[in-house]
Amino acid sequence: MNNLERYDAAFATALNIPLEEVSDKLAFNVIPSWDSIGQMVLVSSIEDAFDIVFEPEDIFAFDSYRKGMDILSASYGIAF
Amino acid sequence: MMVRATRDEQAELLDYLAEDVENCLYLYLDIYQYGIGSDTVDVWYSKADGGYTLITLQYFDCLQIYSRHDDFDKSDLLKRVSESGVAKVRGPRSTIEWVCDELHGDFTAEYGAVIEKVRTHRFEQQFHDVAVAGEQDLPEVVDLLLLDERNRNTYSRQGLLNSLANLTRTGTGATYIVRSDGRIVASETIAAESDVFIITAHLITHPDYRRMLYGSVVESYVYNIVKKDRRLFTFVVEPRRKQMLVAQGNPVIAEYGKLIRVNR
Repeated sequence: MNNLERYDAAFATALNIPLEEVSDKLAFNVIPSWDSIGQMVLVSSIEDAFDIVFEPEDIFAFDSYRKGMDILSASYGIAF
Repeated sequence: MMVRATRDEQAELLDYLAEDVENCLYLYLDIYQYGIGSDTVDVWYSKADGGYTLITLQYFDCLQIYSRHDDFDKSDLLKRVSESGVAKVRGPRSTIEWVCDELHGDFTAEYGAVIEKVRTHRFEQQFHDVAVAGEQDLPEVVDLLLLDERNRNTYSRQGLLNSLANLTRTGTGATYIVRSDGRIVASETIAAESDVFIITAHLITHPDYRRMLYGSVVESYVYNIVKKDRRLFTFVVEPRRKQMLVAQGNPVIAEYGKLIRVNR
């Protein structure tokens, strides 16, 4: 599984959606399961997937699928 | 037949409950904190062949019950519920399921998980200041809690206020709050504690202030600062909150049930 597949799988699991529905259109409050609780589930799932621990500022900033990729690349050296 | 426990029996009861404390956390901690014979708790038990079959504790309008083998006389419990007039009955899931039919019509049942928190993100107060609520803050905390439908269906305003105020007044617990724009926007309560255990409850963030980490900050403060080296437990009904805690690496250690009187 490459990093993109791992990233998408974490989204699907955390937000309780089929893998096919994971796309760069996903963002906070765009789907019901990405609310404030979904945010923390998502953060934990991605931490587990990439064996990292998010800095608090990054948790706060992580508000879309695309933004999450940017954060992982810039702050945690994860390439997509 | 149930008999009222006496102060002399407290140590034996605590030893017995400690053997299975995950399934009787509130009962154990309320006896530990208030003590049998205090005005706050009323403890009864039944025995058969020298062993406990049922232990009950009344704290305000809630009856905590514990039975290790669900081998008690149900009429004993029904009598206790009737005499105490409680609004809630809480115990291990298996026990609540076992007795719930007998109370059908008067109570509705809900079930949840006991989770031991062993991991949470560390926010401390870098985003928002956490403070201990004083008694004067508690009506606003209760108003915040009652924005949640589940809380409205479970608690009366006065019952909830009395419970939180008693914790604050007696020092047997505390409520931690975060303010923004001059109002309380998040809170979490330590509902019971000992030198070894701590139970948190009533974590809530105002709907208008979600995703700004207010709830996470107060939760982190209690876990990382207040807990110290004690085991921390929390009771969860809402499936997505359970999913969040489990995703964070916190194990489910027991299942519990709660009977809530309808038409209070």
